[in-house]
Amino acid sequence: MPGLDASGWHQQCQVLRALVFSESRRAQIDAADDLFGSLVRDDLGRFGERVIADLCTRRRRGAQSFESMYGDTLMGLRASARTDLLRRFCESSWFIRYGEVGDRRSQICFEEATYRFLCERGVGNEEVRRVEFLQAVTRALAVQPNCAFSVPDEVQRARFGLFALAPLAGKTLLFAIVTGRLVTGPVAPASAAFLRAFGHRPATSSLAQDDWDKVGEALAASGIVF
Amino acid sequence: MSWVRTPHVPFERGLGVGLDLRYGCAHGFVRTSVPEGGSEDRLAPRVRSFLQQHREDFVYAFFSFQPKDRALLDPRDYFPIWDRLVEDVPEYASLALHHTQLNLGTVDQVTDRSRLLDFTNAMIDRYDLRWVNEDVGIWAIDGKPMPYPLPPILTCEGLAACAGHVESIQKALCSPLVLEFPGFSDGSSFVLGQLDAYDFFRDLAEWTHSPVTLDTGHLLSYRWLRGCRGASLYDELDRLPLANCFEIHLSGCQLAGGRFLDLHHGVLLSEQLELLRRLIAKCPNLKAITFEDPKVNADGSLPTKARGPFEELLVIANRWIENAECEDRYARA
Repeated sequence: MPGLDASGWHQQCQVLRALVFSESRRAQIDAADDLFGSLVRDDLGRFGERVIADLCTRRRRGAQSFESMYGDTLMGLRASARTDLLRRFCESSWFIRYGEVGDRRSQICFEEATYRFLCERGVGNEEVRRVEFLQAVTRALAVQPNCAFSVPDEVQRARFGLFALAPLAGKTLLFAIVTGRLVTGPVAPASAAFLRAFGHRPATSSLAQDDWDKVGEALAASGIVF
Repeated sequence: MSWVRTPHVPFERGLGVGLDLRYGCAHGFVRTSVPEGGSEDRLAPRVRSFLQQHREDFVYAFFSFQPKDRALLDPRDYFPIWDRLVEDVPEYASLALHHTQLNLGTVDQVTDRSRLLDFTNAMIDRYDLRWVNEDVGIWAIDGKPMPYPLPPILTCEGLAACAGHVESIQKALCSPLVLEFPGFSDGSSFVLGQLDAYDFFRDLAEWTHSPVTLDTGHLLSYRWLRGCRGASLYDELDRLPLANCFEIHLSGCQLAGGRFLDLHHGVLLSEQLELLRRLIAKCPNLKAITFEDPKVNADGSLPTKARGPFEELLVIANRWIENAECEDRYARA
């Protein structure tokens, strides 16, 4: 069996990656022809459409499709614009970092990769976008606590589980996984402050210690204990 | 074929069934309520019913491994589900695993497969899985699953890389690894490289001393992609590693709008049955013929379109099995 020409193989792998995920690279077929000697444009185009469609619609337990995750963020965009957005996502650095197969804790989940991409492009309302992202990612983390992707920075680890906070129309929403259960909903300002401080009352807090403790007790009744 | 690590099975020749068990799918695992409250993943009732109806037809079964979520692979997450699966199916002479995660044609830098291989060996051990097979191809790139496995890159470099991955996995698995010829379904994949896929696959099997699965739909899809039609679909079979062939698959395919589609919808083409007859005559070490991914009605019966071809498959397979028995009696006489 012949040995492997490592540099030649590396080049072929890089070209394949570009062809599969990048519409702009697929347009540069000549370069690939030099390497592979045979390419069929129609096949590549159809495959690329299939990759996009799969990303749009694929559901796995704990995961949502792109459109259902960001329904409100994408409201007002025509179907063609949404598809175009996904094509551009496939060419972005966030797509490179996204992965869901294998043992790569360094990879980010689809929810985070699409969120970062949408933020970069300023798509939709910022608050709505963040809320939809946290809804999707905490749902994913609730289903697979031992996840094969990194936990986004917005989600904090605590003794009771995981949590994140997001402002929406003047309120604060909590997204928490409390002993494996998903808990979401608006929280009072005092509770939000308590959560942000991980239960440690800051010296500058407007709440007296007794009131602070009462907030903690109320959260503890829901299983939220630091 | 003494140099090939052939699966040990308690039958000389047998017809089996292959099931792709996806979660939340009507023909896979469905969420089922339990009396104590809550729910569990269970084999879809219609599939259970089909297997019971045909328990005399199949001597073995394979199950495709599909991940149920995006958690790190841990066999303890799957044991309860598969324990129930084995309870729900007839008692077969052998069980096997159709993998989807080995990624034998990968273009990624693979540094550590230990979790995946430990997981696979734990499943092999618990369920006495007699072989593990997977389509030689690219199932994921940089952690992103493909909608349909791409063929490996058909270059000399691709062949050497693939052989390296196969050997590495062979050494680590407790049951034999059976290589499956990849699919070239129209619209779902594309071909890169100048090597002929039949030659690539033969070289791969021979270099790595691997048993192989020849999937009739995959072979026909490749020939169709090469522009072959009619009788030429069956040409050049001798370029395949026929002596290494342990298993033949038949899963539903369709010709539509000039395109060959590997649909896995349970309806076999007459071309697949013709190819099966030809391969049976050419594969001296064939032991297993698998009807893959039947799609059944709610009562477990095959849809009308699927019944005729399936019955024809039964005739072909049973004649092949009976011939073995005749040959055996002749040899002992």
